[in-house]
Amino acid sequence: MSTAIVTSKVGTPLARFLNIILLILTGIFALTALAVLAVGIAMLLPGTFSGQVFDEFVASGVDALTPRGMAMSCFLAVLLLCAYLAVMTLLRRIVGTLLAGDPFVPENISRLRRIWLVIAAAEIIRLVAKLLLSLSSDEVILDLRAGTWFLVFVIAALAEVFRHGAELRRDAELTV
Amino acid sequence: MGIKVNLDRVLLDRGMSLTDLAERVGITLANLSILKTGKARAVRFTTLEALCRELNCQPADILVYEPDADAEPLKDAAE
Repeated sequence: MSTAIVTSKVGTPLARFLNIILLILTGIFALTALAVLAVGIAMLLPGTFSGQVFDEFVASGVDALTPRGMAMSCFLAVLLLCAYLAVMTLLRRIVGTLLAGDPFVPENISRLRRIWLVIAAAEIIRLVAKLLLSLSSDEVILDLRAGTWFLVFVIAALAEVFRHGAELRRDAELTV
Repeated sequence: MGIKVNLDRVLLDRGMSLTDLAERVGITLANLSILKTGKARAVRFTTLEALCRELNCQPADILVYEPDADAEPLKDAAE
């Protein structure tokens, strides 16, 4: 008479594909962060090595004032990459619950909230850093990305949807 | 919670265990325990019907409304 909540143990093909893509991207981002960190550290090392690397970057078209300035840019890039790595880790955990057949768990609400908070914080840091770097030049750049902020609001809305979904799930569980 | 479930008293009067009742009604013992301990958020009419049938009682024998201490009293209809 009473129906139990039956959860499927196999996610949709799209969820499985997403899980694989996230895994690959996590690896790529982690390796990139390590490489950029290494470049940044190299820029701070005394001696001819940092000078050689700096000259190579300038010759390849990278706009940098000094090796120290480039090191700061590298560290900022590593910070942003770490933020996106955190987002991907949280996303993988959400997809994991989806693959387990039960995405409307309370943990996913806090994960989605953390995702939009991290993206918003990373975007603010990037915006402020770019603004500060542009102060030393003739034109001041305010690089607002409407698409990123739209994404932040969408994820914030999804977090509220998940909260309501978790509540409905709880009601269904406790309906005898 | 405002609705109190009096399964204990009714089961004692009928000399029936919770396990027996769960089997007769067709719900799991876990779900019946949720109902008995007042943790249920909703009861289906089909479940209530089965409970009343097996316990040979009325819904009012099982479900009792007890207002919360901080609940505001209803206004008089004449007002």
